[in-house]
Amino acid sequence: MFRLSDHTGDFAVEAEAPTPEAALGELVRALVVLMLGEDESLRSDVSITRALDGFDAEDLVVNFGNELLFLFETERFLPSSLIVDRLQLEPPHAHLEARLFGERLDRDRPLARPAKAVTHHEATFDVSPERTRVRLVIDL
Amino acid sequence: MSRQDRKKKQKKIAKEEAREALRAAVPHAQRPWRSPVPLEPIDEVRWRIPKQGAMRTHGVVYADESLLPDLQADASLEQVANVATLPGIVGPSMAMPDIHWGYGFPIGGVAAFHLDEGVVSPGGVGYDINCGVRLLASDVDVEGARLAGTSKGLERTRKLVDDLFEAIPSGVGERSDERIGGEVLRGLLEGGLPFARSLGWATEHDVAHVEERGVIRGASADAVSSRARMRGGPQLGTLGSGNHFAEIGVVDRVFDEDAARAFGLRLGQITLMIHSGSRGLGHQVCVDAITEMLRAAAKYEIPLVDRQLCCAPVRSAEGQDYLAAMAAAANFAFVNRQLMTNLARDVFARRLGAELRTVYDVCHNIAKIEEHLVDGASKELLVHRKGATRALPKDHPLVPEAYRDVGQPVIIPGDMGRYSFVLKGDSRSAETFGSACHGAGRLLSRGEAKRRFERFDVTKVLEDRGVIVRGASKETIVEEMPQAYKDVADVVDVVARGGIASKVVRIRPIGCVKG
Repeated sequence: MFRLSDHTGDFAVEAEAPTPEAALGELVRALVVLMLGEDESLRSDVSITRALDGFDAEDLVVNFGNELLFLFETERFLPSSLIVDRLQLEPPHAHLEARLFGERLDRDRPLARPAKAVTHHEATFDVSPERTRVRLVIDL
Repeated sequence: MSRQDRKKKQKKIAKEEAREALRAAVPHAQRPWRSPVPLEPIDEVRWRIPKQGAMRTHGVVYADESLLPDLQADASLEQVANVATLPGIVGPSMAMPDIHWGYGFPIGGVAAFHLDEGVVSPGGVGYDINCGVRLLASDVDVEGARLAGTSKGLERTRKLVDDLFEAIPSGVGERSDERIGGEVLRGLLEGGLPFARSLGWATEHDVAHVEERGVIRGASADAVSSRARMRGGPQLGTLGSGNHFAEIGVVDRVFDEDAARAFGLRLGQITLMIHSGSRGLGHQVCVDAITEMLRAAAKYEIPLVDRQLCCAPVRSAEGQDYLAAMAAAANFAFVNRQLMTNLARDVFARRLGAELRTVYDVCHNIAKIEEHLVDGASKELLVHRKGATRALPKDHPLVPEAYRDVGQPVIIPGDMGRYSFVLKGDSRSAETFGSACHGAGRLLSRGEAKRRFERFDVTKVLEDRGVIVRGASKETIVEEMPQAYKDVADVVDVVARGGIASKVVRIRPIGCVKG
C-alpha cells in the first residue's frame, strides 16, 4: 500500500509492503499516482531494464526514484510495475537490477502533478522481517 | 596490469573507501536543535535562534509576530539551525519572512561561506538552479489596452492569456519547438545571455537589466553531464511546472514615485512577470552533484545532520566542479527566461500592438561569489540563496546604471489572486548579504490545498475576481490557490520594516499562465 503525505512545498510518498521488492513496486505506483492522478491507468507494453547503485538502502531508493523521473523526462516513460531481478541493501554496496514495465506517454496526455526530483531529505527505507517501509520527499 | 587498469582500480578503491567513510560519517551527525526550536526576539522583525549543539553560529529569522505561528508549524526553523552546522559559515544562518519547510536548506534560506574554510552545498541552491523571475513593462495601460473593467475587457484578457498559453510551452518535460545544436548549447551554458545576444536572441537592454548581466562566471559546459543535457537541452524556452508562471498584471499602486519612474513603471501600466528556471538540465545537475557531494562530505569528514545538506569545501575539486556546472545551469536559466520573453513579445505585439521592456531579472536559487562587508572589511564570500532574492542598495556597482541612484529592483511575486510587489534594495540589506525574500511563501501544503479547494471550480473563482488563469494541470491550479500562500503584503512589510528593501509599486494580476 502507499499514500501521498503532506510536506509544505512539495509531497512525500510513503510505501509499505511485506518485502523490499514489493515496497519498490508500491513506490512505483505512488509516483505514478503523484504524477498522473488517482484515476489514470497505464499500459505495460514497454519494458526497460535498469541497474542502479547506492551506498546504502536510502541512497539506492533515492537514486531509483530519480532514475524514474529521468526516464519520464527523456523518454516520457512511466512504469506501472516492476520485476526486481537483484536487490542488495547492505551498505556500502546497495544495488538494484529491475525490469520496469509501463508506457511511453503521448506528449498531449495531461499530467496531474509533475515532479522535479527525489530528495535525500528524510529519505527512509526501513526493512524488518515483516514489513518494509519507504518514504521519500519529492521536489515538485 | 596496464597503467590505465591500475588507474581504474585505484579509482574503484577510492570510491569504495569514500562509501565506507560515508556510512560512518552520516549517522554520527547530531541534530543541533531541541524541539521546539527556541526563538529570542532581537527587534520587531528579527528573531535569533541561539547557537546550540553542533551549530557553528546562531540563526536569524526575519518575521513579525503575525508570521511566527505559521513558520513554527513545520520543520523550517530546524532547517535554519541545521544550515548553521556547516563548516565555514560566516555570520548567521538566515531565513527571510517567506520561509517554509524545504529539504536540506529551508526555502527562504540565506547562508554565506568563507572561500577558504567554507563549503558549497547543492542543497543550498536546490534542484531548480537559478529559478528566478523577470519583470517586463509594456508601453500600454490597462485602459488603453481595454483589458479590464467590462466583460469585453475580460474577453480580451482571455485571448491574450490563451495566446501566451499557446506560445509558451509549459508542464514538466515539455519540449521547445526550438532545436539547438551542441555547440550553441555549449555557448549558452558558458556564455549565458551575452552569448544569446550574439545570436540575436536578446538586446543589449535585456542583458544590462539582468542580475550579473545574465552570465555567472566560471561556468563550464564540460561540467554538465550528458544526462543533464539530454534531459534539459530540449526544454530551453519552456515554462516548466509547479509554481512557475507567466502572469499579466497591472500596476495598481505606486509607493515611491521617483523609484517607479527610474524603473519605468507607472500606475495602470500592463506588465508581464515570468517565473521559471533551468528546467530538467538544472534538476539533473543537482541530482548528479548530490551523488558526488555525499561522497565528498565523507571524504572531507563533514558530518551531516541531513543528507540533503551534503557539501564539499569551496576550493576542493568537487566544490569547483559543482560551481562550474551550477553556473552553466544558471546561464541556461537566464536564456530560458529570455526565450520566453521573446515569445511573449510576439504575442503582445500581435494582440495589443505593445512592446515589452525588461525591467529586471533576478535569481532565486543560486550560490555566487560576492563581495560583502564582514567586520567592517570587504570580503569575497560564497552566498547561497535558496528561495531568496539579491537586493542591493543604491550606489552599488552591480546595480544597472539606470537604477544606481535608486537601488536594485527586487521583484517579489505574490499569489495569482492578490498582488505582487516591486521593491528597491536598501542599505540594511548588508546585514543579509544583500538578500531579501523571494515571494509569499507557502502557507498550506499542496495536499491540504487540494483537500480544501478541489471541490471548487478554481478557474471560475479566480475569473470572478478578474483573473483569467490557464494551466497545464488542473491539480496544479488548485494547489496554487491564493489561500495556499501567505499574504505577500505581510512578507514584504517585514522586509521593508527591516530596512532590507522598500516598496516601489504593487502589481495586481489579471491573467496567468501556470506551468
